Amino acid sequence: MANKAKRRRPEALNVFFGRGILVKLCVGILAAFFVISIFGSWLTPYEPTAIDTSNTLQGPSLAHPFGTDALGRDVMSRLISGAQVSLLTSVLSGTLAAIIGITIGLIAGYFGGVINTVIMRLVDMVLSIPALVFAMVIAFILGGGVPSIVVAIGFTLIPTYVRMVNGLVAGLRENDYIVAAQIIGQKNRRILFKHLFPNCFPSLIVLYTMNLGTAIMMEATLSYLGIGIKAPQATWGNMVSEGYDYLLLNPWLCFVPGVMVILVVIAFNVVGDGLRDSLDPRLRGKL
Amino acid sequence: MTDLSVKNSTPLLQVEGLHMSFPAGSGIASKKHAVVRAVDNVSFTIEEGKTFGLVGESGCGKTTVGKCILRVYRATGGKIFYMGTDITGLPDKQFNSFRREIQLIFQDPYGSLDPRQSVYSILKEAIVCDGKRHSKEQIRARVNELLGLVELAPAMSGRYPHEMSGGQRQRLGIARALACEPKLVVCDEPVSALDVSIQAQIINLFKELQKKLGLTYLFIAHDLAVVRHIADTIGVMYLGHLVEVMDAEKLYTSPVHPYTRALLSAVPITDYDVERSRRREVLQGEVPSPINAPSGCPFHPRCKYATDVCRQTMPELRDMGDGHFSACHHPCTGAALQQEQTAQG
Repeated sequence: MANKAKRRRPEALNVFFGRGILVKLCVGILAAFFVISIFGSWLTPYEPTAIDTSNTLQGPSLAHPFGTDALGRDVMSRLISGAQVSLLTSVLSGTLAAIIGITIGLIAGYFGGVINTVIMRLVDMVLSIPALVFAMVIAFILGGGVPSIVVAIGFTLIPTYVRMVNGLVAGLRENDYIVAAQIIGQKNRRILFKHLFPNCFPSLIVLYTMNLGTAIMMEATLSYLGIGIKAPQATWGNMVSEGYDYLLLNPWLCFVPGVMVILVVIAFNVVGDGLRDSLDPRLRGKL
Repeated sequence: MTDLSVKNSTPLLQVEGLHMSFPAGSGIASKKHAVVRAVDNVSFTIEEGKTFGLVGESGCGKTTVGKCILRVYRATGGKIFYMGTDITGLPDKQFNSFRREIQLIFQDPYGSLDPRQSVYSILKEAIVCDGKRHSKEQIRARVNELLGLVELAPAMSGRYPHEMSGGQRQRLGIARALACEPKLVVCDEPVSALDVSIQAQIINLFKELQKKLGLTYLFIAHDLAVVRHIADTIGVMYLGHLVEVMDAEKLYTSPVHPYTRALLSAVPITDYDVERSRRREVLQGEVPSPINAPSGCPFHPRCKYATDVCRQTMPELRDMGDGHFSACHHPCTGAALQQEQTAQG
């Protein structure tokens, strides 16, 4: 076993990085994003909430690389502090949705019949409500703050997992290897998590990374709308929202956090695609 | 092979009047009446250590019979006795004790192996599923033993299915079935997806394993040459019905059912002169749909001997002597055949 693991890892990495400069770049962006969000509190040049009324709406300078906002707060420090919130909400809500959604989807798809019909109709009901409205309602009910945002976004994302897993499993369970597992006396629970889940994995990793991006966007949207994380805590969303008032005066205020959101979302998507290919044993040794 | 078979009073497997019908179409209106009768009143017996070959063209229900025995499908009628116990109505809990004793070899060596599992992991799963405790060394030793049984190198254990050839995958499929220490193995067209040269190897492997482990086979195939090679007894199926059962040797010498004769006639003969001189019996028309199967004998619309009695009454399997059964109102027995041949001139 040890020998197999040794052989496997470098191969998977080769496939992963063999996809070109874009993957490397995106891994770099994500790595920077993670480092900044984890060690953010030591990296901020200024206190992100410190108001300096004598230096409001400044352009980029050596002292303030991304300028200052309407209250004279350092934009760079706020970006770093906001990264932390974005990472926390996206990873937590994405993972929460994945765990619940995948489990429900596996059960619905594998057992089929009435269970499947009931679950899928419930999912259809949730999907018929616009995602943002759904998240807003939950966030309203739970009140603001990181935990409620995580739950709100997480619940909104659950149907995407249920849908995808259910569809994949409906196809996969017709495979002979599932019948074979039943015949050798394998338990249903093990068939779900040992055979069906790993074979859904390529599509799920893509969905997961895409959802991380969606979660960041949603958090930004909710904060922009004022239901999300409350001021003065900086998030990329409420930074765009606050900067919007000064779009013509100082476009940097909107532009910088907006670009950060886009960069991280793209990076998550590219890395997700790369992971899908490198974790598939069938693609190993090719490319 | 015959030495190994112990003559018990109860055969290993006894199928009695097996029925399996599937609802056709999922419309609300059509649900009630449209039914595909995939298997209709099929009965046969397999003695321990023997091989029963089940042949027939595509869609005649031979795979369905196999899957009913494995309880992949729950039979809609009839009884299946495994070692004297009726397993059709058995609750899952009680069936679990038999579960691993009846194993399946799949037709498709590609779809029957999880592409994300290595050889070792596939076999390990089959070994540990018996619910007992196994140490790592025990598993490793058993995996090597199984690979040896199916003539795969122990070095293969780190491989993934996509890194193996069709023949190797089929051997792995056999090893997985053997990991459960089965008594009865249902082989569902196990060689039809393989190259002819590999087919012979796998057939020989089946025979060797039977000798070594005393296995009993239900061998499903559409290739008569393959079945004759491995089976002791052969059952011919047509449209869900078992139309003829006989010793494998008799298949070529004295089949009496018109359908069996047509099947045999479709097998090419390599000897040019024999092939030229023989008369081919080419069947007219298509297999009728099992949704509205013909009345009486299922074969009558395509049978040149069919008479009114064939159109009205379903022939029973009748004993032709010497363990030979045929379901035909007008069996082509010796006398009738000679008459026909002289008429041909």
